[in-house]
Amino acid sequence: MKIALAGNQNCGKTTLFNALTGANQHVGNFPGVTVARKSGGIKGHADTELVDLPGIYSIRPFSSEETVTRDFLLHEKPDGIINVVDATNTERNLYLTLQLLELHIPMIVCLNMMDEVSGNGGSIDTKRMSLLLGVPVLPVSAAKNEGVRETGEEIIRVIKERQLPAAVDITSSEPFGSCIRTVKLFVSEKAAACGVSPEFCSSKIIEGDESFFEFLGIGRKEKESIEKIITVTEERTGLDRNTALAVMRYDFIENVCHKCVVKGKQRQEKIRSERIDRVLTGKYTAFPLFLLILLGIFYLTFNVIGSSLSDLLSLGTASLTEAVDKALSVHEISPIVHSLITDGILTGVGSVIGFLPIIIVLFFFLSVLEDTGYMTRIAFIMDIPLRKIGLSGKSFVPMLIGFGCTVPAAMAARTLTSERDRKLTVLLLPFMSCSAKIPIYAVFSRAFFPGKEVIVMMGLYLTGIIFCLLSSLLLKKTVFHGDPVPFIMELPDYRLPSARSVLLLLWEKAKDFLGKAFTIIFVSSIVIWFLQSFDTDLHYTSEPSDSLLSVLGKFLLPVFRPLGFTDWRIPTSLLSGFPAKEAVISTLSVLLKVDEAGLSSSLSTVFSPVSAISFLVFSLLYTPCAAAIATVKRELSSVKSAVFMIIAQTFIAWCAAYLIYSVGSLFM
Amino acid sequence: MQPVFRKEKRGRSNGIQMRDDQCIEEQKIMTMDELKPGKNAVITAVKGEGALRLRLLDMGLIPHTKVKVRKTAPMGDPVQIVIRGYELTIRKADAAMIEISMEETGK
Repeated sequence: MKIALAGNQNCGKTTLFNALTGANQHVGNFPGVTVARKSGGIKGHADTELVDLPGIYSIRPFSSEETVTRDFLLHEKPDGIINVVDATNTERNLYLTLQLLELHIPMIVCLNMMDEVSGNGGSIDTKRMSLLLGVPVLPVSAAKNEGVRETGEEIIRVIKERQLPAAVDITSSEPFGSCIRTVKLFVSEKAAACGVSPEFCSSKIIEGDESFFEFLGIGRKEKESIEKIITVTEERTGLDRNTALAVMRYDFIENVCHKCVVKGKQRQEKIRSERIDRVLTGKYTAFPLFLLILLGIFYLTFNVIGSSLSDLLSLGTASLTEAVDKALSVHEISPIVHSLITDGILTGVGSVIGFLPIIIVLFFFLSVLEDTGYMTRIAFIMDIPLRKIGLSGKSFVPMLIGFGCTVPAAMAARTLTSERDRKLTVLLLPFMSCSAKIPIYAVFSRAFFPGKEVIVMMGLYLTGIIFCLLSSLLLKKTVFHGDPVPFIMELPDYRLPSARSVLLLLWEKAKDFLGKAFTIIFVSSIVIWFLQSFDTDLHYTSEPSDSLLSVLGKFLLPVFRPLGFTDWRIPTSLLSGFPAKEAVISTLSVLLKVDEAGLSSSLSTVFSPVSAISFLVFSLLYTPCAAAIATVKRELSSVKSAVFMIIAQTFIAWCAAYLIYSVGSLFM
Repeated sequence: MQPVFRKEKRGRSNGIQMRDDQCIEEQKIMTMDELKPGKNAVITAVKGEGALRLRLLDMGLIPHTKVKVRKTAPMGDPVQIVIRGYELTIRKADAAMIEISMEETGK
């Protein structure tokens, strides 16, 4: 049986989903963390499929991730619905509940975060609420695993017994109530024939949803009479139909809350949030603190925590390579296999593995920003500056995630309400330097600018941001001109991130990274080793300049010579970065036949400081990796955009690197 | 997307932009973008058109509802409001679609 998990944004659906299924989905404190549906079986009930849907405030979708939910509920007809309601904010949350009730699908309401309500001395009479709403209502604290098992059992019982929501009349307030009842009479027969609930149809008809007239097969004449009933009522009450519907629903909810909800003293979480906000979004403190936080994250990631852990890991891989090398020599393994294992696999994969800690630390900070709720505040304070360049405050969140990886960032852009903003944001994301490029920056800055690594890193990130701004302005003036779009966003209370959730995310990212290291980078290291160890007649050669790869590299070299790249190994390494950016460094290691520690010193034989900068800027800006391109293609459902991205980014990268090398050469 | 109807900015306090009687009458109506941070008011109507208006109604911004402006963002826009016990942020241009009254008592 298929069960939908539906509720407002940020009410704890994913937390409940994880508790019910034992899955490990990442939970954030940002409205819209779940942008695509995810499913899993309820623990102990293998025949169930629980679907975690993106949060919605209303059955009327406003952004593309909300459409996912609406379409699922309407077209895939789940067998049951678990409606998650934030117990600390029943008024707004129950609005969606009323709309879900209209669907006539077996349903239960979970009052989540009950621990916060009772913690502040409040209480909710769930029995009474259940009577008033016509569906079972359960108190739950998903984060503390309270009421979770009961939820699973109750929804299965409701579905098995096909217990439909009891008829609840919310149309009591005259005179719009009678208008709705009349419309319901008009459509009930046709709705029954189409297999949809009459309540839902009449709501949609009154809201003016044209597609429903067609769907139900309502003729022109009937349509006119329905229209007349509504306009007459509108005139009599002085309220338009949409306001009247909203007022009616909220009147009903206020009545329910009045009868069932005892509010405690003002919630501690809220008072605390207000205090934090006074500083973090304060008039004079907001921007300095924002900058400080970002700088702090970069400093800690690249200079303090990440790099020391990385050094440790590199020592480990270096000694492993040495040990294997010795063992292979002792056992007199054939030189080709020996070379494949040490010069190919161990050198290539080993050169990248060392950067795992830096990347994990960066993701740790990004997830803390998200889980605490600070991301929404960034969107709040950055709205004006971003609007000036043609984006909206909400675009900033995908951009920040883009520092981690472009793939989830492009998906996070689904929370943007306007198609124009979403497209523009996705196209600009590759300028946010992703974590896979960190190995390149780290190795080069250590080799050419020792002691100034952090400055070089910051400079590169800043260069990316500047290019993003310029491109955005350019696109705004040319392709993407348009009106400012609405910006409506809930600001959730600040929360301490749960250690479990953060650790799970880091574990996921580590698995991703290691998976990539042992698949794409493993294979590309072997391919590169093969291409450089065999000549055009497929004979093993120890002279790299005779190899297959050098033929290819020399063919590409003329294009890159203006950028200061004079060695055929440089374009080859850049080419290998297309499947995954980490491969640029693993390829250079394999080609220069050195391990990661020796890489820094041998780089100076191939690069001058100026061409090193040129190489860094080119790596920063040139085409995103294959996975990112595929995601962009999927998110924008346009092959053209993806191809445009590859060409435009590479072109911009070439021009920028050319400029840097020509100007730099004048001074050096 | 449907075009969003934006009302012209009304003459603020000095009333320089008043041109005819209609404007004088309209000037009495206050909109939410004019509400000072920390002040309470009650929504009287939500104007405008299209998806944005429906979203505002769905979020509980309906007539007779109490609303308070918590603060404006550091650069003056958007505004953060408190409604039905939660915090919401909207742009001033959209807040200008929401008519309010300081006298009426709301829920």
